[in-house]
Parts: sequence; structure tokens; C-alpha cells
Amino acid sequence: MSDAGTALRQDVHALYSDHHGWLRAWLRRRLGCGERAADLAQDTFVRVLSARQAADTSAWREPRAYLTTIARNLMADHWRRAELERAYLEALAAQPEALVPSPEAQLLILETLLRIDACLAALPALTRRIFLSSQLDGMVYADIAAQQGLSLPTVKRHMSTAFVACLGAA
Amino acid sequence: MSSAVTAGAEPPIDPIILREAAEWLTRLHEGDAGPRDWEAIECWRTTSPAHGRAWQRAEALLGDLRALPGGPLRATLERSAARRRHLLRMLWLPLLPAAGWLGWQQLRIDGERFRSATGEQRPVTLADGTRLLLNTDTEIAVDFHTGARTIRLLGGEILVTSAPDPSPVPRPLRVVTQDGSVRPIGTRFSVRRAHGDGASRVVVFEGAVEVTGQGQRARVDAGQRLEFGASGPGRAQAHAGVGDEAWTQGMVVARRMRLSDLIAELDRYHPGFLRCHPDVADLRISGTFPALARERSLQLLAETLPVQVRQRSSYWVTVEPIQTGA
Repeated sequence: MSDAGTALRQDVHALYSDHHGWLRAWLRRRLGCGERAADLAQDTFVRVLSARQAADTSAWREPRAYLTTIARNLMADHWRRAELERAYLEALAAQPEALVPSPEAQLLILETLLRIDACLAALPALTRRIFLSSQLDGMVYADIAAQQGLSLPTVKRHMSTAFVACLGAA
Repeated sequence: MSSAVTAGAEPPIDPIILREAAEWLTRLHEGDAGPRDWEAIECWRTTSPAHGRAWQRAEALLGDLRALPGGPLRATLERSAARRRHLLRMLWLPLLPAAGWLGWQQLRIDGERFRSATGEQRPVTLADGTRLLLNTDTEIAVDFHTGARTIRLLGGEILVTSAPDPSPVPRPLRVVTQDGSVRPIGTRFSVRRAHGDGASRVVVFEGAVEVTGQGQRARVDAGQRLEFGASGPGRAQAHAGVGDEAWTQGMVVARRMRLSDLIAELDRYHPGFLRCHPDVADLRISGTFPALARERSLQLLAETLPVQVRQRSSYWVTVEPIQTGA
């Protein structure tokens, strides 16, 4: 066990020293920001370490392809976070001042938002639309069914699928 | 990652049970759900501890969803890109127990009892966002699963800052004592009930409440207080302003108060006995006393009035007239 752990650390160390500089440059070209590129390069290796236990080593035979796959996902995550943050701030700006939550509460809501977004990302677009109509627009199923031209049982099935995903049972 | 530690502490819930919880959530949002559904959920939830935990997660999700504002956010969420599915699979474990879930861990209260020790004041946030402050030597039982959000005040004193129910079928919030119940109407209020004999008292700082007891009802508005006991609710009266709320800041405010009443008030905050000699019971006193620091309060008394504090032991203290010439 500890042998495997040592081997893993050596592997990651080798991967890091061989490709870290290259990955950082690769990210900088895409992000246009050296600091953010450094952060994401770091995050990529953290992800390699945490994914390593379950992952098969075959991916390592093409180290640069492997690293860029992870880095691409992290970039997508980064942009998505920025996008959601912007949308949330816009939503806040539209609210009366008395209803605007404290900065700490805002941060918590943003975390919640990211988590729910991650749950929804795994769902088909129609399921997502139905779920948001119910949860954000407060529509009852009969109205959603009429609006989408679906039967009531179909709407319920989509809702159930979405709740299953959000509860982490998927 | 630290989140993985938390995930490990919580045993996984059977996906079948989580699916059933999802079915209940689906039912609640249908548009015609009512108290009967809550009763059915209550039955289901108490089947096993795993069911209970699944429902806690479901209620946390309700709270999370309710916190999201609509508008531009709705469109952004709807555009959730499919290319992220791959990412999601990698992120799944670290994401699940994120801040919302961690926050929820502290709020687990269903059917639970909360106690504050003598001399302790304890803030508690309930699952629906309702905030409580338990004053010294207070015990409550909270039950959110019988179609109502019930806070049972078994003894002591609580300050309630109520929040709207995050569930799609709002359950009324009420504070119940052995004398009756208090139903808030968007509000901040305190309820006090001595352990054992006596009556209950409600003081309203914001909004209004409706008190029901012995088959009678009374409304109490902001700035008013009301006693209710064996003979039902009395008449609402103007409350003592800052004095009635002072305990929430750990203070007792006296305005021409009888010394024996002040001593009885301070006695609540310390284990043992604090008693007042009958010869000085009717002395009047005004001032602000730190309830949680009894020594300091007693020292203030001795400086202001012709009394002395006699410590027979740390659990047996009396306030007596000054013995002159003895």
C-alpha cells in the first residue's frame, strides 16, 4: 500500500517536473492571464492526484493529452463559475435593496448555485427546463404540461428525474 | 480534500430511499399538495434512520432551491452545457458535500431537543431559517414534520426571529407552551415560561402574533406583551421597551424594580440559590445588570443600595440588609 503510494508520488512528481511548465504556457495562451494560468495548472495536478487512485494508468501514456483534458474541463468550470456569478449579481441588482443578502450569504448562495448547476448539467435540456419552471418560476405541473405540450405524468417523470439528480441518487 | 472527510463521516444513503425522497419532493411541488402529504411524508420519514437522513437532504435541497433568485439566473441555468457532463463525473464527489450541505449539518434539528445550561445563552438556527436565542436554563423541542413547524417551549425563554417556510406547501410556525400557543405573523418575539408552575408571557418586538389558550384568542402587536396561563390569554399591554429585550444582549434592565424581583431575575442565570432578605425586598432599584456575570451584578447592587451580599457558598447566596455595628 505504502509502496504504491510512494510510486504514485514519484509518478506525479515526474509528470509535474516534465510537463508543468509546458501546461502553464498552454493555459496562458488560452486564458491570456499568467496568474490564472498558474492557478489552473496547479489545480490540474491536484486533480491528477485525487483522480489517480481510481483512474487507470493507461491515460498517462499520453501525458500531455491527459493533462489538457483535465485542464480543459477546469477551464470550462472556471468560465461557468464566472458566468453564473455574473448572472447572480445581475439578479441581485434587480432586487430591492432590502432583500439583498449579506456578502457571506451571497457566497453561500453562489456555492449552492454552482452545486445545483452541476446537478442540472447532467440532465437533458427538457428536464432542466421543466425543473426550472417549477422551481424558479413557481409553476404548477398542469401549467408546465400545457406550456410544453406534454402530459401531466411526463412532467412528473421529468421532475422526479431532476430531484433524483439533485439528491445525488443518480 | 476536506470535503471527502465529511463525506466519509456520513454513511451513504441507499439510492432507492433517495429515489423515494425524490418522489415526495415531486409530489410536494405538484400544485395541490396539502397537510395529508406531510402526514404521509412523516410516516415515510420515520421508517428508518436512513429515511430520516434522506429527508434531511431533501429539505436542505428545498432550502437551497428557495434561496435562488429567478430572472437572468434562470436563463443561465437553463443553458447548462452538456459538455460539462464529463466534468461532472469527475467533480461529483468533491461537489456533493459543498458549503450548503456543510451548513446543513449544523441545522439538523428535526424532532430534536435543545437545551441551554443555567447561565448560558445559545443561538440556534432551524432548518427553515428561523433563528432562536435560548435564554438561560431553557429547553425546547422542535418538530417540523407534522404539517406545522412546532417549537415546544418546555421551560425557560426564547427569542424567535421567524422566517417563511422554504417548503412549497408552507407549514405554519407556532410556539407552544403548556398554557397555549403563539402563532407569529412575520415577526420577532420572545416567549417565556417558567419550569413548573406559573404562566407564559409573550413579548412582540416586530410584527404581530396570535395567542391561543384555553379556547380563547388574542392578538399581540409590536410593542406589546401578554400573559397567558390557566385562565387563558389576558389583555395585551404595552411592553417595557428595551427592558423586555435586554436579555438578548445578556442584560437585565431594571426600572424602579423591586429588589426581590431583580434578584429573582438574576437567580435564573446561575446554578444554586440567590435569595433576597424580606427586609430589603421592597427597595426599588434602576440600572442595567449583566445577567451572565452575577458577581458583577451583585457588586453593583451593593454599591447602589444599603445591602450586603452574603456568600454562604457559591451555591447559596443571599442579599441582606447591611448589619450596622455588628
